[in-house]
Amino acid sequence: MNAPMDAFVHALPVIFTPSVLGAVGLGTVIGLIFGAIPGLTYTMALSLVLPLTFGASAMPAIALMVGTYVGGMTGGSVSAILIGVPGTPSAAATALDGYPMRQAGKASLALGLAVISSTAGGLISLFIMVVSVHVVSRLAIKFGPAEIFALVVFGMSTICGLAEKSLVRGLIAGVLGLMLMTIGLDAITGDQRLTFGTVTFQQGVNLVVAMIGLFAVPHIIRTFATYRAGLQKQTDPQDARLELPSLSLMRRTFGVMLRSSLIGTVIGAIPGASGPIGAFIAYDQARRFSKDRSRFGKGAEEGVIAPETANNAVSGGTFIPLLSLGIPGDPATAVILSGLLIHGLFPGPMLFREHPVEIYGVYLTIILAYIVILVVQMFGIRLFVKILLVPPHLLAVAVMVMCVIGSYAIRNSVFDVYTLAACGLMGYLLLRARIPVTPVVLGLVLGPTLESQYRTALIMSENHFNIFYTSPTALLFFALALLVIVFQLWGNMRAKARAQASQTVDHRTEGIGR
Amino acid sequence: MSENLRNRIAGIVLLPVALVWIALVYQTIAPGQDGEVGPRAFPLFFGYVLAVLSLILLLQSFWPAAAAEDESDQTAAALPGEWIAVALAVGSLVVYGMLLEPFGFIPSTAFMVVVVMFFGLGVRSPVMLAGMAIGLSLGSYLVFGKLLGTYLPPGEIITIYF
Repeated sequence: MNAPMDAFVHALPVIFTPSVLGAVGLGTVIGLIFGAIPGLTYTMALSLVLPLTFGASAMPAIALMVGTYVGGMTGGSVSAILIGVPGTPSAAATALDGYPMRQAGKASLALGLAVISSTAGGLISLFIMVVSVHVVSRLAIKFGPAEIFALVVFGMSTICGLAEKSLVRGLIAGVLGLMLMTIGLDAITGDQRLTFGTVTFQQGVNLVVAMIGLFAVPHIIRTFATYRAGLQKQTDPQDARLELPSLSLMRRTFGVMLRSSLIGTVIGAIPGASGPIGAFIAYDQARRFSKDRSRFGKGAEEGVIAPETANNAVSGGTFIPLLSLGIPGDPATAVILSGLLIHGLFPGPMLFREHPVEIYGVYLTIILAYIVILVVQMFGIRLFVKILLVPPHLLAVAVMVMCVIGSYAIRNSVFDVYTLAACGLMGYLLLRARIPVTPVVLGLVLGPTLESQYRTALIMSENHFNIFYTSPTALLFFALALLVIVFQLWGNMRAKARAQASQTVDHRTEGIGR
Repeated sequence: MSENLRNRIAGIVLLPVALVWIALVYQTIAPGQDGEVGPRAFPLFFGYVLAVLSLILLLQSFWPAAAAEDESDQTAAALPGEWIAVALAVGSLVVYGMLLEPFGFIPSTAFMVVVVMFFGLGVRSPVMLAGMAIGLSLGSYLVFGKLLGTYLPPGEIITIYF
C-alpha cells in the first residue's frame, strides 16, 4: 500500500473528532465575522485565536487556525457586496461588480456566487497543492526580488482595465495610491518621508484604513445627502429575498472559475505576492476573455466569480511555500506558521516525511473548512440580506461607527481615525472628478512591494540593471504587462474611432432628414 | 457639469498638488548614497508622473468633447446641499476621533450618533435617537470589545470599563 494513501487513511479518524470539527466551525465563524467587517482583518482574527490554541493538541489547533483563515478570506466579500466597502483588501475587486449587483436587487445572488466561487477556488487550489507541492515550491523559490517586481508591474498594468473611459484618470488614481503609501518611514533606510517631523506621520498610512476611507466615506456622504434631500427610496423587500445561483449559471462560468483558481494558486505560491494581486489579475482576465466586456463594473456575475475564486485560491497557494519551505507569504500565514511551530510541526521537506498524517490532516481541515463555510454562508446569506431592509440613513450611521472602530483597532491609534476622514474626503473628491477609486487601492496595495522589491533587486545586483532583463520570468511578466497596456490602448482607439464614425453618420442622416 | 470642465478642475487641483509634493520631497528626503536608489527616488518619480498626468488631463480638457458623455453611469451629478453632507460626514469623523481617547468609546459613540442623527439628519424621534445611540455604543462595545477582543478606549476623563 503506498504511503500517501496510508497517511490519508490514518488522518481521517483524527479529523473527524468533535474537537477538530468544533474547532473548524468556530474558526470559520470567527474568521467570517472579522473578514466581513471593514477594518477588522483576518490577520487580527488569527492573532486573537492563536492563544486559544495553546492548551489544545495539534490537530484542533491547526483546525481552528485554518478555519479562521478560510472564514476571513471569504468574509471580505460580504460587506463588499452589501455596503460596497471591501471587508479585506482581497475583496476590493469583488466590490466592482458585487455592489452593482446588490443595487440591482441581486444581493443574495451575488453573495451566493461569492461563497461558491470561494469554495471552488479553495478546493481547486488545494488539489493543485496536493499534487504539485514539491514542484511548485521549487519554482516559487526562484522568484527573487526582480521577478516579484515584474509580477507587481503586471499587476499594476491591470489598472488599464479598471480605468473605464479615461486611461489618464485611471493612471492618476493609481499614482495617488502609490504616493500615499510612501508616506512614513522608508522600509529600507529608515529615512523619514513626508512625515513633517511628527511622530504620528511616521506610522504612515495604513492600507486598510485608507481603503475603508476611500470606499465607505463617499458612500456615507451620498446616503446622508440623499436622505437630507428627501430623496431616499423605500427599501424594497424584494432586495432581501433569498436567491441562489442556478446550476446552469455555474456550468456557464466554470471556465472562469478554473482560470481564476489557477491564477490565484500560482500567485499565492509566490511568497510576497498577496491576495489582492490575484483577485485583480483574475478580474482583468475574466473581463478580457468575456464576450461582452461592457457588462463588467455594472453587475456582471463573472466580475464577482473571478476575484472571489482567485483570492481563495491564493490562500490555498500560500500553503505551498508554508508547508514545504516554512516561508510565510503574508502576515496571516506567519501567524499560522507560529501556530504550527508551537505545536511541534516544523515545516519543510522533513514535515512530509516524518508527519505525513499531520500533513493530510491539514489538507482535510482545509476541505472541511470550505464545506463548513459553504453551509454557514448558505444560512448566513438569509441573515445578511436582512441588513438591506434597514433604512439606508441608519445603516450609514452604523457603518460610520464600525469604520471608526475598525480604523482605531488596527494600531490603537486615533491618527488612523483622522486618516480615515482624510482618505474619505479624498475618495469623495475623486468620485466628483469621475476618477475611479479602485486603481487607488491597487496603488496602495502594490506600492510598498513595488518599491521594496525594486530596491532590493538593485542592492543584490549592486546597481546593475541586468538583474531585470536576464531573468526569463521577469521578462515574461514585463512582456505581459506591455501586452495588457498595448491591447488596452488599441481597444480605446478602436472604440473612439467607432464613436466618431457613428457620430458622423448621425450628422449626415440628420441633414438628410431635414 | 461637462466632462471637459470636470477634467479641467481636476487638472488644476492635481497639478499644484504634484508640484508641492515634488518640492517637499526634494527638501526633506535625502538622496541615495553612492548612486544607489535611495528613499527619495520613488516618491519623486510618482510625483513627476502625477504632474505629467494632470498636465495631460488639463490639456485634454481643452479638446472639443470627443463623444457625448454617457450620463447613464452610476456616479450621478451632485445633489443639492451635498457639501453639507460632506462636512457632516468628514467633520463628525474628526470630532469622533478627538473625543475617543479622552471620553472613551461608549460616551463618544453615543454622543456622536445623537449629534449626527439630530443635527445632521434631522431625526426627531427620541426612541430612534436613544435606540441607535445606546444600541450602537453598548452593542459595539460588547461585540467588538468583549466578544471579539478588540481594544476600545476606556476613556481618561470619563472611564467606563467592564
